[in-house]
Amino acid sequence: MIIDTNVMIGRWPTRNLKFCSINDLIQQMDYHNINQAVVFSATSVKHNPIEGNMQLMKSISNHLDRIIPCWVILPTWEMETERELIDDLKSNKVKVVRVFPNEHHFVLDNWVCSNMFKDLEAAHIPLLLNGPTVSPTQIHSICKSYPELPVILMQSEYALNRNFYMLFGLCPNFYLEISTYFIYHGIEDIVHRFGASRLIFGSRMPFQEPGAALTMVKLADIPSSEQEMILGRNMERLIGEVKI
Amino acid sequence: MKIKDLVNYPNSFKKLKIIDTHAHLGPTKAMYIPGNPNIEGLIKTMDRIGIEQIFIAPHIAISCDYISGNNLVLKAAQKYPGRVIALATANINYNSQNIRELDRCFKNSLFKGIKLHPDFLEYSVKDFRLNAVFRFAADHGAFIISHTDARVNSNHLIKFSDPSWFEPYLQEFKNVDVIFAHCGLTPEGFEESLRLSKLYSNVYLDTTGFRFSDIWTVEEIARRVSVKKLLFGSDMPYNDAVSALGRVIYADISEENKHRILYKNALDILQKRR
Repeated sequence: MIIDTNVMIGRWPTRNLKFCSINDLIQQMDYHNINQAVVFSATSVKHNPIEGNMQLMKSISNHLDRIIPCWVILPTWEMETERELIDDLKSNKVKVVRVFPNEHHFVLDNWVCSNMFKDLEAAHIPLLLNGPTVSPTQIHSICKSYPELPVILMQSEYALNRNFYMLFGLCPNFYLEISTYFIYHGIEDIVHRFGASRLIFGSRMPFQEPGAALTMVKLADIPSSEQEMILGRNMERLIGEVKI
Repeated sequence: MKIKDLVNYPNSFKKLKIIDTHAHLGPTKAMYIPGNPNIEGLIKTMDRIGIEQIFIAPHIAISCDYISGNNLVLKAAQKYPGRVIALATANINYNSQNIRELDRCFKNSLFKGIKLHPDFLEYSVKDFRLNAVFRFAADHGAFIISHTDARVNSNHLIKFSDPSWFEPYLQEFKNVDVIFAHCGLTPEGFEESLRLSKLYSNVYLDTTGFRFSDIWTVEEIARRVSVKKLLFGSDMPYNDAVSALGRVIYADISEENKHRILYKNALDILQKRR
């Protein structure tokens, strides 16, 4: 069972990417033997999260066996939609969310986001943070303030790995998605020190080719049972623990 | 069994023949490198994933002390003859001492190529002193592998190694094979790298720099230039050993072309020097 936790569909403004449609994504998943993908919408990032999420739900409606929707959310959700965030997630069966604070011009700190964090924590909904736009200090603060909230750092800046080791040690709810974790023996070392449960497979399609991250796991010098955890079991467990 | 399926069978996978044309050695200031980034560790990694030979320029050579780095890679090549292809790092900031150092290195036949890292050592490819390095390579039958990067360096707000700046050397030194590491790193750098690799038979590209080079795919290079111009490089231990490998083995190209990228293209460059 392979679950790719870092996939986007939709048209990207600055680059003609390898694919943008759901059908092309399914084709790529089949080629790489990826069973399921956690998918967000480019429109949610570059235009408007609320419209983008709705567009996502429409485009994946015939593929719910393969696609797990990931909504892009805002700390001002209630104000902008006149609906409760958790109610919206529940009614749309959305169990994974992602934030883009730089794109959407909000500060990823408690004074802005505490209500959002509390709601997500109460429901154990995994929060995906975009590596290049979030500092290790912010991650530490979120993980410590909301210990029941699974926090997954996506497409990390891998040269910051000295900080990640501290985060793994200090924060049991910190997880690392591996699509850009290009550290020599990086996967083996984290598994050795902290266990395989802290790593999540993601490809970063369609910006990157899935073969790179797949090969990083499949040729990692760790038992196949631990490879399976990274490739899909860990994310399956986190999604299974969501309470909505 | 197809190459992309071999990844599920590591014992079979390591029987693939692979030459890694871009690697370093030792620790770096930039990040924590787990495991053993010294030569024993690299050889162990190579054995586990089927890399037969590796081109090395140590981290210390491209970050700080090029002479210490050249000594280090020579020791590695002496300890593992046939596995390690030694690259002599040039540093044109040292003027005539730089050429004396290349001369010292190339008295030993284990050195086959010259490494340039204009960005880390902070000199421009436009600097006239680089001409002497290309002249040296031409006279000694050496190939050159250079970091290429069309980004503006954030410390200096200038560029050091835009691929297009190599063109005068490519015109003058047609017998010197030049490997553009990272394909220029940016969309503009990639386009320039492609243009020059189409125009000049002695220009090659490598698969490293995935962190920045997500703008291109192996299929795109195969379609727009030729797989004959693409070499497998990992950049280990600065990067992991296998992500670039994944880009090649999962690419939608023929099995023969995968073998060419992983092994034969690099072998052709090496055999020109024997």
